Amino acid sequence: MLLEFRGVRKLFRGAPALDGVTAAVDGRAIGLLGPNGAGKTTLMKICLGLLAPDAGEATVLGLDVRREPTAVRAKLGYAAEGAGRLPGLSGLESVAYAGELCGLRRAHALRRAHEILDLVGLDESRHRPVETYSTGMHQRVKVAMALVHDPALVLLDEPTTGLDPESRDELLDLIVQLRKGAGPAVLLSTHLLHDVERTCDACIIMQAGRVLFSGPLDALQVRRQRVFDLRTRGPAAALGAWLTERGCEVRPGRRDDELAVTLPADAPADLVWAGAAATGHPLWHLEPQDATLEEAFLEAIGSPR
Amino acid sequence: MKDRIFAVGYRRLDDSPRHRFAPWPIARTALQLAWRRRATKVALLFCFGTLMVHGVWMISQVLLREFDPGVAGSTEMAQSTFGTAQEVLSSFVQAQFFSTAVAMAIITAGFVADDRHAGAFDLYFARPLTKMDYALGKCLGAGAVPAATIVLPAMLLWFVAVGGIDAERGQNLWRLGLPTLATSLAASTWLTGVVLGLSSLGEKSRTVGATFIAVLFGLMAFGEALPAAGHDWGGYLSPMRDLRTVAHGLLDVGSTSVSGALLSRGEALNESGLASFLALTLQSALGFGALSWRLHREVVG
Repeated sequence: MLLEFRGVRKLFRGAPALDGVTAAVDGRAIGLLGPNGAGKTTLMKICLGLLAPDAGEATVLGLDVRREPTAVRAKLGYAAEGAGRLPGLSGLESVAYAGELCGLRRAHALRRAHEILDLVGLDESRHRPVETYSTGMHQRVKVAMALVHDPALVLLDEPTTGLDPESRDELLDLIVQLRKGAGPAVLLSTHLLHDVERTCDACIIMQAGRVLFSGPLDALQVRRQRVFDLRTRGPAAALGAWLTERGCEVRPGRRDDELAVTLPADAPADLVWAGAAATGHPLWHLEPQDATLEEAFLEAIGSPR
Repeated sequence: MKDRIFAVGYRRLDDSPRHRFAPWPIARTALQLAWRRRATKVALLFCFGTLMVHGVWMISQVLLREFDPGVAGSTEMAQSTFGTAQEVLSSFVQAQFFSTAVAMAIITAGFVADDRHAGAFDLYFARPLTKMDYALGKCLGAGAVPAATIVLPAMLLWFVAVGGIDAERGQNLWRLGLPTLATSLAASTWLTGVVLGLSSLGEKSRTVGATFIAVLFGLMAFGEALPAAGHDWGGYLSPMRDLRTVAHGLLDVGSTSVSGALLSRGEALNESGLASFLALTLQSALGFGALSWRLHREVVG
């Protein structure tokens, strides 16, 4: 298992930043999704051992972050959300320095830094001091610093923040490239659903320090596949009442012959056909709602659509 | 025109163990960043000037002894003009303590403060580094400055004194090696400890540098004023007075020569050399303690 949390709690001045986080996820790219203040960065810092949980256990790549923090950090790369740079160093030196701090020899770190900066697409400006960089260049350097020592898992905290659309595309492409290739697994923290949808195969959805969903993205969308839109010949009120009696959640559509029906977890989809036959209202139209990930996400966090 | 980058893609590294001495790149990078500032070079030039003056003084002594005409009273006259090797070494450590303090305020004041200001702690501690690695790296970097400006030149001066005259006459100079090393190390430790302590408390290198100089002069002022008012214990507050006492005690500095009088004003000493050494150690320990406190406060694990 890539990441495993069991009842992780973290308080900041008495207020819970993480409130009993329990999740277990595996995959090549995992999205850590949630609105601002959900506790994503806190959870990442706990994975790195930069913060100690007040309660609970966290396991990263099978290693307990409390008992073996240095071993865990040796296997992780981290691109923090904030500044996290050393003014005066060039982009190339920053990346090489990060490699040296992880145990690479100086010459090796320098070669590897060039290689990774090529990968993230930083051109000759790699020789300029980092404080002269644009936000996009700075994000690339941070990602390169996280990748230089070839970690098993790289944690990217809001890497697309402040990027123009082109740079954002390139960075997301890089994550896809890492996921598909032999690169490290990725934990991508973001509040942008699109980034997760495009790059990840699993996600953890958080809100107010709690995990609302964790697992493959497909599973998140499957939850929505029990919702059907239907249209009957004539008014659908009788069919709606019949389905409600059998535990379905029924919402009226825009017209009186339309309904949106959510089946109970244990009910077969045939229930709708049975209802149509029983009430004498033939079905003109029946299809599962084509839920977007956004709808699934909003439903998970309980936000009105 | 925008460059086009052709990457080889992501390449995995082999699994060979990576056990490098992590403090070394930390120290080297801190010094490398400092070296890029013009002020650093000016400050080091200032230190070099102090070394040059004492070097000329020491070489003059050696040459006079080497070419002693043997005329009655010539040796005494040379000694009263150029003093003894002990005097040169003691004067050098004290003068260089000042020059190096200014250099440290410029070069090393931002070692920890700049990291805090730039939010770079996460950069370090998200990697497999311990607090000890970080502290040791910064101590090595900061300690390298007084090592290069005080310890090594003091030993060089001693070598000049010992090597410049024949073995028979240089016999009593050999025993000065260890005291010279101890005195210069005491000065270096004080400078390193206090500047790193202040750096770990501040967030801006200039403020830390100015505070460091103010602390040095403040302690010196109290350390001279209090004994004058009858509070002898106050003398131990002054690092300069402590260092002077330690230097005199260890090097057994004799009469003041004309050259010595030109370079030092024959200031007062503390009563106990050991207590002065302990006072210096305590002040530097406070500095290292502040660094340790900062790391324990901001870094988990």
